[in-house]
Amino acid sequence: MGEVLERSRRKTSRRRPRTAADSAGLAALQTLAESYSYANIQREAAAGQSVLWGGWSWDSPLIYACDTIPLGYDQLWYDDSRKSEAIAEDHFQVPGEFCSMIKAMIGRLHSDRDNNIKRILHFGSGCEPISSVLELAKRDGYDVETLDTVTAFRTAEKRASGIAFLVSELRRIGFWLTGHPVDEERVADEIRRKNLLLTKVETLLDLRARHPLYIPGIQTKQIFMGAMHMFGNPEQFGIVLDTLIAELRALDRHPEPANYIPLVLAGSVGNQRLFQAIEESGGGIAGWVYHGTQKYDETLPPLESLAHFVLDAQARGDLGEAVGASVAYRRILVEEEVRKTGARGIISSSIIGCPYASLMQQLERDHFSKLGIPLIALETDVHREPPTEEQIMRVKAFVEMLS
Amino acid sequence: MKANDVFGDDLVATLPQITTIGVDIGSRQAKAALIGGGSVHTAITASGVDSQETADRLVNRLLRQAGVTRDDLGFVVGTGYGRIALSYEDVPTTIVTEISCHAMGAHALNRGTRTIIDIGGQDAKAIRVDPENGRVIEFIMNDKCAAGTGRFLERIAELLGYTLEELGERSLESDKKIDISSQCVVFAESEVISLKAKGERPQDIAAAIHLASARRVRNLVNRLGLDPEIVFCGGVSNNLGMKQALESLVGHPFTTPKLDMVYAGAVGAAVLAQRHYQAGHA
Repeated sequence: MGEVLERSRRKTSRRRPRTAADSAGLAALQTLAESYSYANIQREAAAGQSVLWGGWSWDSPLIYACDTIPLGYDQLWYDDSRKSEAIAEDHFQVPGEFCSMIKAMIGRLHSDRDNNIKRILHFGSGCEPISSVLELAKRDGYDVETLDTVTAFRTAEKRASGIAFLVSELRRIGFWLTGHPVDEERVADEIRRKNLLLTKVETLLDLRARHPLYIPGIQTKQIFMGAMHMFGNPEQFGIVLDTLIAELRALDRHPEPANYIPLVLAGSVGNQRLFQAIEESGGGIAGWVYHGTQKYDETLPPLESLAHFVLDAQARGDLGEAVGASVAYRRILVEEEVRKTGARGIISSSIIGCPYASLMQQLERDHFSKLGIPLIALETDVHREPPTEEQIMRVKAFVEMLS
Repeated sequence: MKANDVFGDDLVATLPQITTIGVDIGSRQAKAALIGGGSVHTAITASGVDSQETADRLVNRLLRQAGVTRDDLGFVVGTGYGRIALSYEDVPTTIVTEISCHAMGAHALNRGTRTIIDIGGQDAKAIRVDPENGRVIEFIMNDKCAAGTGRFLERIAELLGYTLEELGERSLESDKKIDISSQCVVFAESEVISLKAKGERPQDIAAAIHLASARRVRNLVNRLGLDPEIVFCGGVSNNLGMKQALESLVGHPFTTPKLDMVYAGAVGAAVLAQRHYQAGHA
């Protein structure tokens, strides 16, 4: 793929890509994202590569330092999600109204119980139903470790004892993965590498805010995910980011009139067709509150740096439920993003049946109603089938209303 | 009908002298409206399987009614759940959501409209409208629950041995208050069967069903705020029982424009088609 990129880069330098269809960076991103599939990584696991479910978020530098590829939970519902959901409802008797993500997780882990990715890492501050799923997964022979944590909803509440506890937890996880104490120098290297990528992601998102249709929503979501797990291939992800940044800079040199309604998206949209509906209606996601682009403090000992990162993320509201941030915080980040991008409306998204996100949406609805900023609340599921026509209509009507 | 009688002189004066059609393909019924030659024509039929065929039928009927030919058509706007399938190679066409079309339709038919309650075959919506220009200010819709929608009322009418038209009228004859406790269509159906078995009169059950459905719609509308003037649109707007139940819960009478509000979406689409033509999109 490197050769393909090189060829594409040479082409890019001669001719500025006018549309996303010409983009070598987007093509390379797609190839990279496809390589980070459950099936591919399972093959690597079968060939002896250490792999685990989880560990793809703030904790990924530790996991990579342990020569392990973190596999995002989203791969559990990337395909066969309906089948997995049916297992959850029929075998585990999970009510039909419950969160589709949780049902797909429990069903897929159960159906794949004889596969060779058997380790799961969970962060204790995260989604409580996931904790329950993982308890059930233990019955199917999965080796589940939970990283226990402390909570600091404000930076002032970040206590030394809390940091020390998290560091001891991270050491325990390192030992679990490798059978020996974690090499902290390796963790420091991984932190530096991730910081470099996060800086690139931040640059890319700043550039993209001026060209939101060049990198469409679905690919931007892939970039956000890559900012966390780096698709199991940090070097290649860095090359993809560089290519996209160069393309966006080229667009910046020849600005074209903005012909879209700038919007801020809060959370993720589970369904690709909804991204298309936003963009087909003339909306452009200029700002997005999803995963953060905050850096790790390289001046601290590496495990402490990870511990500070997660508690700081809680205090800021970054990474949401993945780090146990309060439901009250996302609206602050959304408001910042609206001011930064001049967005005319907000799409607040959640998964149907998620108690955390539905409460967050209600708070956002009330907050932005007071501020007079139009907001539409979308609830989607994790399945890949097209959304209902009602959902598409809701999105299109919102953009029409703002236009 | 004369356009001036339906829309008022102010709006008509702003429209170009061109013939346009709005087609609203709903989940149960397809409606269309033609504006042109100083008149407004409407047509309605059951939504068929093929949205384009249904739309073609309505368009041809309107052209015959208005005594014009296809060549006279300046613009068509499609809306409703069947809108995505609509396209005409020989007439400029665009697609607009029913939220925007209902807002424009209710505004065109009653200039002071600020709030729209729209109950169709499969969902309920509440829309706040700018009375100055008919633009949507805010909207909310319930597409997860079928309670109170046309589809639900059809099923209840069937259970009670009424036609859909009779359901609303007969509910007004009720003289006994019955509580329907279920919030879910499936359970509400079971409750209706059980009330029938207990010997309750169909009129009383019908009234109870309307009140329970109206309560859900009222809760939806309350999230937007209720600014009079309120207009009731959509297929269910012709159900007198539902209208009365909603008015009593909302505490405001609904404004009744001169045209059947089942056509609000189609009329709004036809007005928007006029605007598109005016803006040079043809």
